[in-house]
Amino acid sequence: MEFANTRQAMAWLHTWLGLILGFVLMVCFFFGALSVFDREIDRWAIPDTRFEPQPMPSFDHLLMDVYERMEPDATEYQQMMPLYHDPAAGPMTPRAELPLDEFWAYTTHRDPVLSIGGGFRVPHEKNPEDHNHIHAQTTIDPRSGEFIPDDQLKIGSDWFYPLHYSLNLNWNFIGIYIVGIAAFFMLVALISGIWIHRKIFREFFTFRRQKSTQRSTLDLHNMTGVVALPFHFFFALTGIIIFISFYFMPVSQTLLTPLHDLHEETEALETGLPHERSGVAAPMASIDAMVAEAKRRWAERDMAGEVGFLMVHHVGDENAYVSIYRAGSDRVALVGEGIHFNGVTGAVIREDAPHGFAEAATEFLTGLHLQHFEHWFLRWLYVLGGLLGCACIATGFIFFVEKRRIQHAKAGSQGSRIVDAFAVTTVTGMVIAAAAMLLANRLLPADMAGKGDWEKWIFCGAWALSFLHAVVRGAPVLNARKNPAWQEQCLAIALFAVLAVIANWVTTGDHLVQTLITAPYLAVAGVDLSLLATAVVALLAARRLQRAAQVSPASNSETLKGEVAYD
Amino acid sequence: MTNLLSFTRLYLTPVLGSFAGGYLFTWGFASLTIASLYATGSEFHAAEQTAFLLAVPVFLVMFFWLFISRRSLLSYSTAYGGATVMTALALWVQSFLTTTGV
Repeated sequence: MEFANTRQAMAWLHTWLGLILGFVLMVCFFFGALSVFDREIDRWAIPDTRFEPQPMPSFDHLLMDVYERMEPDATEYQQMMPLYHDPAAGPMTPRAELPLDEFWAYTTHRDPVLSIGGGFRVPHEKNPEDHNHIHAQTTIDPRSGEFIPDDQLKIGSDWFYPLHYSLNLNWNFIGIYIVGIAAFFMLVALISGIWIHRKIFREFFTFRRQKSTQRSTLDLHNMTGVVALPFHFFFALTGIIIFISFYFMPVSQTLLTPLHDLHEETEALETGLPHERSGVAAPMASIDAMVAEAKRRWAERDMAGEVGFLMVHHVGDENAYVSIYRAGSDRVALVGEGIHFNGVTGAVIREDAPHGFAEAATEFLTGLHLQHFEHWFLRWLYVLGGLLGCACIATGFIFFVEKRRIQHAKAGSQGSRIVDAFAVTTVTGMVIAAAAMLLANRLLPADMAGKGDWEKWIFCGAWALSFLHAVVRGAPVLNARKNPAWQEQCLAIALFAVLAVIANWVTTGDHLVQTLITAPYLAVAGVDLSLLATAVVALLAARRLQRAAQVSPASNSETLKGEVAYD
Repeated sequence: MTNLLSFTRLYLTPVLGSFAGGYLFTWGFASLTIASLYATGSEFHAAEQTAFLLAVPVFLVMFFWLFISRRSLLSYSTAYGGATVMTALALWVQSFLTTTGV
């Protein structure tokens, strides 16, 4: 490779990998920031669930009945049943008659609704070594046990949240791999960024907004990068750590499978938690009594708390056992303090022992990323950190174009125009897509069949249209001028955001005076206020862009002396 | 076409070569760390977590070294050779443990 020195090689890495993977990272940071308040966005999107967070309800009096009404997922049944079932051994069991083998319930301090799910056993299985379960996952109102219709998409936790780590590209987990590679190169970009910027402390305090767009953009890029450097580094690192054992480096599921299986056998013997069903039917003991005992034991350890996750294995079998985990709302580390009970006798089988250094460190790191803790100020700092990441990446895009647009215009190159169109789509187009989805959520009828799918299509459609718009309106970039799509899309963001707030008011009656003062419901008020703040910022940006468009391109660009060549 | 070939040779290949070399080295490192720690009495998941906590910095160091060294024999043979040796060692340790049932 033709680099004069290491610093130049680092500059090349920083520029090009940052540019290419920046488009993915922007999605991760923006929707990651929104995911901090995913449950609150869910409340905004599903007005029927706008009530206070609930503790785990009674299993004996409410949930057991709900599990009996729960059915395996129809799509999964259609796809997986022919793979698991052996026709020679007996007829295929109809979906609604599959026996429940395991079930679980999950809640957090921010959830009014309860997530529940289960695994249904496949009789006459082809290969006993296979998973042989058809799953179910649904949401209920924990006050009544009523199912929340699946057509009502939880926009925060089932769309924005997975978008930030999987891009919602689920075919063979391709999205997770793309995000993982992007996260690794984010670390590379951060380290190479530090390497090429020698005066990092000075850059912390440098922002010359009166200088040219190119100069002030670079200042802002450096400043947002340096100010939130630990945040950026930490989130990219912990994002990788969360998924590394399953997706990025599945050593234990591939190369070391025999060792892993050996460990599982040893562990089953040591823990006394049966790995398989015995085949002997037995009634379940009271789960509520187990929950009470688990709470008593946590309180005894001076960590009184609520149940966050509960799972029953081998339902209705002599080997049934119940694992109860504590909700971790009062600590950073993602520790469940699990207590396991015999499902038939109700006796305690074992309590999870405290972990060693490496596991404790991982639990702390993943806990810090997933923030299950109850600390609203810190949650907002997370949002700020995520948005600073977006600002850092966005200014990187803009700087890239600003530095080259005159040069490209003279050479007749399309390079700047293409990068600029992608930048518009990623920066403003992404916000338009999110706002359009929220607006559609309030305008489409609540009982519309496939409403959630329509919302997803509107999200993708709005984003695709923003790309088309950015491409079509990008011709001025060929003449070293700014793409008017930036300004126009800012106006579109403001419009959609304000309309979404109004639509929420009109369709639910929950206006800001009510959600803030007369009948406070901060989850909805927070989303409304965030939408209005977004509208204000978008309008200010549009006004600023309009002024900048009136300045001639030559006077808005200067050669940056003493800087690394970002070519 | 010439530009594309030149770009691939000068830029794309070193990046992909560094990424692949770093990844494979880290794979071998993680495998050997897990197998060795398990063999010396560590709990399996504790061994896994230790290996994965170290894996990210190891991957980064290897990636930068390979990229900066511009395809030097030393760095590339360390990465690819090291990956092979460590993976083979991990398999050997695993085979020993599963055969003896330790």
